[in-house]
This record gives sequence, structure tokens and C-alpha cells, in this order.
Amino acid sequence: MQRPAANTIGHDRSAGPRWFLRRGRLGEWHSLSGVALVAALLVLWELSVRSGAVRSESWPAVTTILRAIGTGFSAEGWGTVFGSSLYRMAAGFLLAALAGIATGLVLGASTMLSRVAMPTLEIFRVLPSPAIVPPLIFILGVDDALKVTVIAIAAFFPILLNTIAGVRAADPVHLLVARTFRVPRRRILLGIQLPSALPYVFAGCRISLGLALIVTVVTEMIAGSEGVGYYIVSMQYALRPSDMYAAIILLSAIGYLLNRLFLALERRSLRWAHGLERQAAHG
Amino acid sequence: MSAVPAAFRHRAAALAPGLAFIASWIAVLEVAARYGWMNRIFSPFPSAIAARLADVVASPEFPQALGATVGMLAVGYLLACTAGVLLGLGMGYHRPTYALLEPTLELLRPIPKPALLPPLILLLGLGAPMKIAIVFLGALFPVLINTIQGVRTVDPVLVDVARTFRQGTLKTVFRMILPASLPMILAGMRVSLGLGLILVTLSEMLTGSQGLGAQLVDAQRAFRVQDMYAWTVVLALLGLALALSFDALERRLIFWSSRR
Amino acid sequence: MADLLDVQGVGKTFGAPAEPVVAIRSVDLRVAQGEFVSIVGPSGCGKSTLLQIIAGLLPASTGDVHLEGRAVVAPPEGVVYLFQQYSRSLLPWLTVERNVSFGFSHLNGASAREVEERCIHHLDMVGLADFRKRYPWELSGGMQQRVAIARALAAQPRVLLLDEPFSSVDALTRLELHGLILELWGKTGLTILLVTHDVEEAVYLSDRIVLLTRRPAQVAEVFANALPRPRRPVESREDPRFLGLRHELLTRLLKPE
Repeated sequence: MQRPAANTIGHDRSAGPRWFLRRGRLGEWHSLSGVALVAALLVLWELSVRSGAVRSESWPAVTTILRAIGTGFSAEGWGTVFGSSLYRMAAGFLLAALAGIATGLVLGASTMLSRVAMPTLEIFRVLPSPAIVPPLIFILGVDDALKVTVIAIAAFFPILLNTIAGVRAADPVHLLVARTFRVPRRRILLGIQLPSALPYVFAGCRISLGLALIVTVVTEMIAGSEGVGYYIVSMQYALRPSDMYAAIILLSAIGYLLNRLFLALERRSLRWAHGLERQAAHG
Repeated sequence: MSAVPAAFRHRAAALAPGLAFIASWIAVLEVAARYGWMNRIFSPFPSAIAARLADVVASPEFPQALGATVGMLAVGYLLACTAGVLLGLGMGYHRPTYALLEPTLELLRPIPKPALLPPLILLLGLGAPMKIAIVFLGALFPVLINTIQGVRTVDPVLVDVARTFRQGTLKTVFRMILPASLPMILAGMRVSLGLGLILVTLSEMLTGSQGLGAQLVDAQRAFRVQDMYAWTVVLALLGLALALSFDALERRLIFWSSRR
Repeated sequence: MADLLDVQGVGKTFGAPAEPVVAIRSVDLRVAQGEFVSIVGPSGCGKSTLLQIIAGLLPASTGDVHLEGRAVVAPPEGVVYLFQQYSRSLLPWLTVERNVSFGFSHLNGASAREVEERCIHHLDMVGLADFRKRYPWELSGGMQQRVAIARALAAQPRVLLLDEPFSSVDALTRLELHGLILELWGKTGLTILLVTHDVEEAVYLSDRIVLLTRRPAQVAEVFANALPRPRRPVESREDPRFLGLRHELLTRLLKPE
């Protein structure tokens, strides 16, 4: 299966389920030089505009962008822009999660079914998500239904693949235990394979969450009339770069926050996986 | 005596149920369209798509579009991989470099790369430089992050062994750490490839200039629906070809790794 | 006493037809109801494989196993196999109590209350009733093994198959667990088949000891154990009958074949 790439520099949170084995907090590595570099770059940027060295419509000063962010903070401002996007993202993600976990459990547990279904799924996985939009427009129109569907399709795959890997990673000893106690098939699936798969499922969901946000923006850029993606493209056409950059910065911040929130949720729900790791370390 | 080697036959047998399934739903779509259960004009109509596909592939636009897409993708992707691996090796191996660059990169990483498309269009225009830039930016991070992680997880014993042979930093890094981190690096490169294809397609769709994405949108706007589906199929096949090639490459490069 | 378990001509071969690995050549064994039988042999001789075949977890290549006259082809009712890696055998996402109930709660009839009572009862038998809300990884090795035993007993089996259950606990805990097993065996009248590499453990615990040869395994000899019951941890181990049997077994095991 496709191993998801780590999505946090320095702490390998999403390379499979053993992420909790990696140590490394953000604080450990923050040193003066790094922060100083960021500050220096920002100052350089600001100066490049103020001094007139870079005279371009599309290159606004940092302060201008910050002002643009600030003025937008009202219900009619960023609230409207992001509100509908987040709603669609959430809807698409939840659909993807339900479908991905259910399908992943079934395909992970049955070699035959996975042989039948995987080639078909592969085709849709390798098709770039923007390319799914125009065909679906003809079938679903340009409203929320279209966007949520595209988001769900894109977010479906990381969860599916990770769930399959998780099911297949169930400890063989656990399965033997189930056999010696003559535990029925359904109980094995829900009581052993599903919990074993949970660390993988969480990793897949986290990746999918980030992907859902991205694809939300993409669909709004292609077929939008509202939302962040549409806003960014509109600002591009209207030659209002500071508003455009402002939206991008806020979008990144939201993505970052969602990721951290999900990590916290993961940590709380997988206490037993932590315990297991602690036990293994102390042997 | 069969001229087909056993390994091939084994893999073909494994694929058979999947291919049969694909054939069956294509057949269902065909029947549904023919008997009017689905709208013949707007829904995928396999026989029509196949016909249009043949025409599309034979047309002069095809090699141009394919070349444009693959070209932009290749340039941006290879640049990103090179930069990502080199930077990642440096950051993974050399703590001060990591400390210096990590905050900056950590700030840039969460930016959804498609959102950078409009700024890049404003800054670089609609042509090749913009497309290469967006592919580069998108493909850089997965490779970079995975390289750093790959370096980090190399068995420290191996590194010490290299040190006792007085290998010198450059040699240690390239001869020892790079091959050891290869599985993780390749995993990142695989993600980057998919991301790159998405970004180049998106940029073509939004700018309507050259490439497969542009052709797709073109067909859509002109209501040449089955043409549009044909271009979708082309993109799917391209995605598949890239994925399979990457698989083959990975298999050859890390045949030794147990982690697959 | 009727024969409960009848193992006849059981053999097991692994590997491709081109290069077979014969783990077990042929083993015959009869176990009567309520007996405590140990299987001893050099390491790697196939003891665990034999036990897993008897448990129905592995198919035999030749021969068959009969439980109460019925052939064993899959894990039969009333037989529980206890794993060597007990900490791995406990499900880490379940509490101790739920782990214990995992072995029997899928059987029909019992209400939630009855399930809970049965869990507490069996955890009490191994002295861990206070720990039922804990998680396995919060417990020591010896305690985890006791949970596994409680889980096995809660399923109310007729036959208990123990695969080197005490090999990875420290010596003192091992002695405690010996006492526990004998006590439980006395209370429940179970039939127990124990695989171990520890000769003294075999002599201390069992009625009969089956000595297997090096791989490919066969029954070298079956020893009757005249050591009187009830067995005491210190006194029994100093009894001349204990020492004598131990001497014989060790000599046979260490003899080059």
C-alpha cells in the first residue's frame, strides 16, 4: 500500500502507525537561528516593497497583508468566506471517513474482495482530482453536491488504504486467540481487526483531513461561486493581491490548527497504543 | 512448455478478478446508456468514449497536450526531488542546519499548494514558469520531510561504523545514509508525484493554456461531453502509467528492504 | 478413567514439497480425563507444534486427533490453548475484565450481569479481582499470565493446553504460578497438557511426562510420576522420587542421540 508521507517536519506523525515511537517536540528544535531567519525574511520582504526595490502590483508588503487580514474579521468578512468552505470540507470528509473505514475493513479482511475491487479503486485514485470535476458537473451540477462528492472521493483513498493496512497488520497472536476461543467472524472483525487498525485509521484520517481542505479549495477554484477557493481566484482577477495573500495565510493557519487538533484527538483515543509502546520499550 | 514465466502468470491470475470487475461495470454503463436508463448525452457512454478516445489520440492536439503536461510535471518534479533530497539530507544529518531552516519550512508547509496558484499566476504569468513553479512547490515538501525522517531513522550504529572508517561527511552521507533512507525518500517521492500531477492538471484547467487539463476544460465548455470523458480517461491512464512506473522503479531500487 | 484425548500417529511436515521440513514424525499419545500430562523435549523439537495441532489451530499432515471420540479439525469446543507470549495474547485495547470476557461473551445466553460475575469470579481465582478495570500493559508479566489463565478458565474448558506458559517469568513468580495452576487444577478437575522445556516444572506438576526426541519428533518414552499429591513447593522438590525422576529425564535429554 502507499505509505503516506510524513506531514510534519521533524516529527514523523503520519508515516504509518508507529509515529508515536518518534520523539521530538517543536520546542526541542526551535533555536534562535531559525526564528531569526523567519524574522529576517519577513523584514526583507517588507523592505523590498517599502524601499521601492520591487515595484509590482502582485507583491504587497507584509504590513499591507496583515491589515487586510485584520479588516476582514467580521461575520460578513472571513466568516462568510470560510464558513461555507469548512462546511463542505467537513461533509466531504465525514462521508469519506465512513466509506473509507467501512470499505477498508471489508477489503482488508477479505483477500478475494480486495482483488476484485482494488484495480477499480486504483483507477480512481490515480486520476487527479481536478479532472474529476468537469465530468461530475454534468451529472451533479455545480452546487454543493458536486463539491462534497469530489472532496469525498479524494479524501476516501488515504483512509481506505490505511484502514486496509491496519486490518492486515493485526497481530497474528490475537487472531489465534480468537480462534482458540472460537470467536465468531464478525466479532473478530469488530473486536480485533478494527481496534488493531485504529492507529492506521487515525493516520489516514489525518492525512485525509488535510487533503479534504485542499480539494475543497480546488473545487471552489474550478466550479465555485463562494468559498475560499473562489475568493482567492476572484482576488486574483480583481488584482487585489493583499486580500488574496490574506486569505491564503488564514487558510494555512486553519489547516495547521485542524491538524494539531486532530493530533490531540488521536493522542487521547489511542492511549492503549501508547501504553503498549511504553511496555515494549521497558520490556 | 509455456513461454510465459511463472511469475507473470501468477500476477496475471491475481489481477484477473479485478479486471473482470472493471469489464463488468463498463458493460453495465454501456447497457444503461444504450437503453436510456442514463442520459446518453451527459453520462459516460463507454462505446462513444472509446470512439472519441481513438479520435483524440490520433489528433494533432494529443501529442502536444500530452507533451506539455508531462513536460511541466517532469521538470518541476525532478527539480523538487533533487532539492528536497539534498536539503533533506543536509537538514537530517546536520542539526544546526535543521534548527535554522525548520521554522521557515514549518510555516510554508501548511499552505495548501493549490491556493498558491493564483499568486503564482499574478507573479509569473500563465505559461511554463508558473506551472513548473507550482509543481516544484507542491512536490518539494513530501520529499523533503520524508528525506529528513529517513535520515533520522537510519540506524545510528551504521553511521558510527562509517565514522570509524573515517569516511568523511560527504561520503558517509551519500554512500551510507542515502541508500539507507531510500525507502522513506521513495515513499515521499511517490506522494509528490501524485501531488504534482494534480497541480499541473489544475493549473492547466484554470489557465486554459496547453496541456491535458486545458483540453478537458475546453471540451467541457464546448459541451463535447464524450470528448471530455475521453480526456478524463487519458488523464487516468497517465496517472496509472506514472504510478506503475514508480512501483517498478521502487521495486528495483529497494529490493532489499523488508519494509515494503 | 475414559480417554479424553487420543492422538494417533500425528505427524507434521512444513515447507515446499521440494524441501520438506519434518517437524513431527509420528506421535501417539493418550490422555485420560482429569490427568495432568507434561510434554518435554529439547528445544525446537516440535512440542509447540504438537500442542497447536491438538488445539486444532494447525492441521496435522498425518494421523489424527480425537477428543471424546470426535475428530479434531478446527479448534473444538471445550479446549483452550494458552500462548507462550501471554502479553501479546492479551488485547491491549480492552481492560482486564473485558479481556477475560472476550473468551466467552460471544456464547449465547449470558446476560451482561452474568458475564460480569463470571469475570470477577475467575479473576478472583487468580487473585486479580482488584485489577479488573486496569489495562494489560499496566500489569507485570506474572500478572498478565494470570489474566490469560483467568480468561482461559472463564471459558470453562474441559482441556487446557499450556504452551511453555512460565518460561518468560522470573523464578519466584514461576513458583507462585505453579502453585496457582495446581490449585486451579484441583478445584476444576480439568485435563491439562503442559509443554515445557523445564524438567523440574514437569516433574513438579504432572502425573505423566512424555519425553520427545529431537526433531523430527517422536515419543522417546513416557514416564509415570509417582510423586505424591498434594505437592508442596519446597518439600516435594526435595523428595527422592522427584530427584530420581528429574535425574532420569535430564540424563535422557542431555544424552547425545
